[in-house]
Amino acid sequence: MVREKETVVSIRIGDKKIYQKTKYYELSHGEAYEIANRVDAGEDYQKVKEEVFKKSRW
Amino acid sequence: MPVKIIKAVPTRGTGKPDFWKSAVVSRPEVSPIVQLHWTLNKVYTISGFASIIDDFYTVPSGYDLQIGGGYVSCSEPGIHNVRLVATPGMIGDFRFDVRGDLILTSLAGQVVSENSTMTIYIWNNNPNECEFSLTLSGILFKRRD
Repeated sequence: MVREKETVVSIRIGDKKIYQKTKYYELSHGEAYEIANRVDAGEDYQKVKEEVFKKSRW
Repeated sequence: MPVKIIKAVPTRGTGKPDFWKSAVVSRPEVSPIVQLHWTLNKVYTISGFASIIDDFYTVPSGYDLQIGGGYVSCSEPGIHNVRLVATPGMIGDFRFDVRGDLILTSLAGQVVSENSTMTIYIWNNNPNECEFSLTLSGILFKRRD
């Protein structure tokens, strides 16, 4: 089951510091392996991600 | 009538003088390489036996990013797995316990091109909810077109 979560990222570029809220996705081990393996096999990352997310949407 | 004394200028060989237009040497223009320190830090909360996927950074246009190294850590033990990917190409697949050093030296260095997005997968192999942190550091190089 895919769940959207939120965290803060801090980035430093030169003398500039950036803090911003970002989203990430929590999913099952199997779903993560499915995306990783299919992308490794040459499939398009965005397409695979959309398919897996759609299949297990909350 | 006063006598004009004219001092003779000694000759300097038979070539044209230095100020002669054709004597000016043209040099190619070299723009200096602009380098900026780059560091990223992010913390993820992951449920027990779950994973996360995150497109965590896109390299700004006009720059290439050379990742020098970093580390991942977890609040609880367990052989966790982390995979860093750039589009296209794999940066690395690492397994670690509480803390894992991502050593990306000059031999195993990774240059991520402009507009490429980096993605991280983390597999939490602990039954409890854990906090994972990711720290990466490197140098942003301005591209010379």
